[in-house]
Amino acid sequence: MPARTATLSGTLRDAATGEALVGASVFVKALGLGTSTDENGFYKLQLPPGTHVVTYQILGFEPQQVTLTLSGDLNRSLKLSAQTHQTQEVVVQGLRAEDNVKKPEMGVNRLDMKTVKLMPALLGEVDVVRSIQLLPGVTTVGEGASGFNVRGGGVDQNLVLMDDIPLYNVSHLLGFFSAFNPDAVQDMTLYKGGIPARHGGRLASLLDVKMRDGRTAERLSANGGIGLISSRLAVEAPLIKDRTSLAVSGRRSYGDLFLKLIPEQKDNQAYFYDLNLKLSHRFSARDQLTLTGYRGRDVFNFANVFKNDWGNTGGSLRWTHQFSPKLFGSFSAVAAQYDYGLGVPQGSQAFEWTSKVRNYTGKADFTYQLNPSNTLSAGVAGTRYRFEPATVKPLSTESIFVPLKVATQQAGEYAAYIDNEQTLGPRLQLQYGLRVSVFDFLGSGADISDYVGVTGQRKQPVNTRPAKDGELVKRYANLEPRASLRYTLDLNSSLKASFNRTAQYIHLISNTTAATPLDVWTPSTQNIRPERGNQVALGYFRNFRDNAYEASVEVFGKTMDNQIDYINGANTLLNKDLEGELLYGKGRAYGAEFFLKKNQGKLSGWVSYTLSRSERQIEGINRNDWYPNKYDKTHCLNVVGMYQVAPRLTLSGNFAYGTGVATTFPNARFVYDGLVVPVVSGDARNNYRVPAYHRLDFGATLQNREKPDRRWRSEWVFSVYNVYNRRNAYGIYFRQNEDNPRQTEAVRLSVFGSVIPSVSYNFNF
Amino acid sequence: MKRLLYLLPLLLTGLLSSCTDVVPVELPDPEPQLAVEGNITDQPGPYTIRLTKTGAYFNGEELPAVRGAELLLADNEGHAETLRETAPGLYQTQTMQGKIGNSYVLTIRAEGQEYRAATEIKRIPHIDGLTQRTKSGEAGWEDGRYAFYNGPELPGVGDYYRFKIWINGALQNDPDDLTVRADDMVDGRYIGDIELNGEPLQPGDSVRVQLLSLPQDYFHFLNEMYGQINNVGLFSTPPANVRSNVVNVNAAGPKAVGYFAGTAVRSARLIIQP
Repeated sequence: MPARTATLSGTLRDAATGEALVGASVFVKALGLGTSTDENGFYKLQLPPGTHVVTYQILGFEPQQVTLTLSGDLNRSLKLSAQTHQTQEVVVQGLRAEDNVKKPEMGVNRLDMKTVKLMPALLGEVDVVRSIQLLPGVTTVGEGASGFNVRGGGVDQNLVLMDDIPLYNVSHLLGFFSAFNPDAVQDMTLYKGGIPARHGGRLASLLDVKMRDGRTAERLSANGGIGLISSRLAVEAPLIKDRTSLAVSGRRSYGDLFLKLIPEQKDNQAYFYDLNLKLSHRFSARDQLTLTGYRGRDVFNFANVFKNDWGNTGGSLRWTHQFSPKLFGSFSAVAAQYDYGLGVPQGSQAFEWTSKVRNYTGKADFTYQLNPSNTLSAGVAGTRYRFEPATVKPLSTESIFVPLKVATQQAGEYAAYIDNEQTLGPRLQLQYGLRVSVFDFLGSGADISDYVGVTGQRKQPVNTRPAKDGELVKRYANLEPRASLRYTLDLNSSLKASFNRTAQYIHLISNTTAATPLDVWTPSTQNIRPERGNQVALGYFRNFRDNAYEASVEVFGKTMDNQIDYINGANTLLNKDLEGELLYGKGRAYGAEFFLKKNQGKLSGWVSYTLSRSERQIEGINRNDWYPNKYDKTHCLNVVGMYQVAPRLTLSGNFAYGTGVATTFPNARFVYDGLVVPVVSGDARNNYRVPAYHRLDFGATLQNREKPDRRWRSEWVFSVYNVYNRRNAYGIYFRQNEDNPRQTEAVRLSVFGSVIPSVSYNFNF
Repeated sequence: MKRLLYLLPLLLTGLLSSCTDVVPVELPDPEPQLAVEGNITDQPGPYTIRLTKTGAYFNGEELPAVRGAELLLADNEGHAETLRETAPGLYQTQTMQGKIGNSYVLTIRAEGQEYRAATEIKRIPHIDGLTQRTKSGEAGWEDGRYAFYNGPELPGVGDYYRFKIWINGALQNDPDDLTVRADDMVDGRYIGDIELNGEPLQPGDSVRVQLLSLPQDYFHFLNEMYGQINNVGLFSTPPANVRSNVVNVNAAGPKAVGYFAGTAVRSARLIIQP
């Protein structure tokens, strides 16, 4: 008997660069059957035996139609060519246009670097995190603050993966720029809900950043840029044509080079850099090995008086294997570390202080196409953590300091998941799965304690006991069901719903408005319980004008428990009894997100509006009553537009509006030792708002004329940040007047108090 | 040393144009609370306790004195004394002598409420003396004469200190001059060669330092106060009320602010030489 269906599979690549094309569509129009390529450019499609016309297409590339005759399973890999210059239009989304409506996933936004690079950039630095802050449901405590907040979650509740490598800190320069070199990034996907069962460990979101994997085709090439803050260079080389490719990129800021010109500043250094490496090798059409490496660092040296540096370092090795046309596997080993050091190199106060968090992760993921209507995914992952919160060493014999160490902590995190994407008839598609996660807090040879006392005040250690290296101290387990469904209303619209439970076992200890590079991560322990979140979301998705416009409305509601907060005056650094200064409580967030995006044409971009609320209730704060989170913004409006004026000139603009962040105003004072001390009546927290935030930016990208005989291409990028010179308040603070201490005043701090123009020059060859 | 963290934003000021300006803010009138400020030391009395009401934050006037209150100070050796109001809102002891190792309870009856504040006087090391040295070409310091602190720290973690510095008789008392330290990082070490002044001194200038030993809770009070009165910027902490050891006997009654603290005091002085 002939098989009822045969599997057509293969990989789609960019003909010029050899890069895998993610999200390209592959379909047989006559049969109404289709699929899209996965993150490795791989696709598989069940078809009846026979002769079919298969269309391969992705925005920005010339589509191809191939006539194939299937008698059994067939492997067919293809290369698509980018559309020529004259017809090229700005592509907001590289994905299949109708995915917005057809896929069950929701709460997901994708951005490709082509789009991000056209958007106006602060000081010319193209910034992944800043562009994410323009998406619906994403906020920040203020410009210059590290990280981002998703649907009412904290900055530590985002899992940020750079090709499987988790980043513990996503910023350079304290938060002004992000850890991603734009030339090294291919695209990024933000999951604000509907996080696939494959991923876990953070409550609020997953930001999955894919790095460029180099060119398996043609030739050695390079691209780079010179900006006001930093310069970049990326080289991509085919080491063995169609098999092995290498991509290496680096970026360094050079503010400190100017410092050297100033005599009194010549011994000071302040810079950041990052290095990315990606080496890919294809053993066969079915086996690929990818090695990714990253190191980013900030360095700040104030002569011989003070030194500070921090950054992420990580690597991953991934083997993908196609066992059969229906079974696909991926195996990864990952190591990642965040560390910092600071100190005074010499003198009576000489010391060195280091802190580190490190993890090793192994994981295996499988995708199996059970039949045309069921695609199963399953996998396992294991992570070993080591936390070294603080080690202080005196650096000279006359140093006043004694050695001090906050005990090392160890932990293991394990997970297994299974997930199925199931089509039930022409209208209904389901995705449902379960993730089981287990967390072991392990001894490290140091003493551990419980803490007792009055909630809201510093608690004292009791029951102090030794915990042997590797001994299981406390185990937690969570079941994390994930489900979403899509119900098609008509060709261009659908309804979607999703439920998500997530668990988070490691926590960033940060009691400041913006996270600092010195904040430390801590595992869940016998005292700190894992954070858990539940989210439900409903959405209506509609495309217009042949998918030229995508629109969606999503409403979400979310509860979070075991949220961590701090007693007043908590000492979050160098504190052996940190757990005595933590408070716990609940969080909740809800809101509606409206999104309209234009994907094609000379004018592209999006408008997003979010109406939301994010609150917490912590025993010991705000008289135990609910209060808004710092990053709660009732209204958030973002408009992003790009307009191709001429073949070589694209203009862009951003407008951002947001309700002012929540803050606490005192209303009374007393005087102690001649100093004016503020009093907040009723112990209120976040009882006021700073004025609304709004800002307009413009950008222009002018491509230089191409010379037919030369490969050199270049462009100028102009940006104006904060066009109408608004002094947006980062915060409002209360203090004594410096000249007249009896006089008290409220002070507005603006991080950027002026128009910031910039220009940068980019090239590739 | 944790204060070094405040150096970090310096790195930004050169690169970016962050700025502050004074803005008008409307605040609701507060419900006045009792504010207490006072110490007992191991030095001879009289010891003074000031009682006022809290006032509106932006009102620059003197805080209203709380007059006619009844203050009783007792120690753990059975001494007790009722304080005398010597000026509006100022209450003084006559006979009580503070002693290292003793504990004290102050009872305040004011405006129909009764409050209690408990404290103690902790041990204190001696100061070996102040020295002077001329810096030249040291990064971060202007060339000139500087005064340095020298003295031991007592072995055993759990000591807390405040340093008060007078230059030419004027207490250095800007919000960021409030200097309190715990000994966990310097336990038992010799505290030598620590600068007492930020700007160079001239010959003939006088420098006086007071070392105060603090009970742990009073250290937390001053540390929280430091945080609240120096709380501007990217890395500010949430504004919140500073603790108080003045507790209303009636838990549901109005709360007081401020602190009554016991401290031991040592001092040293130096006249800058040419």
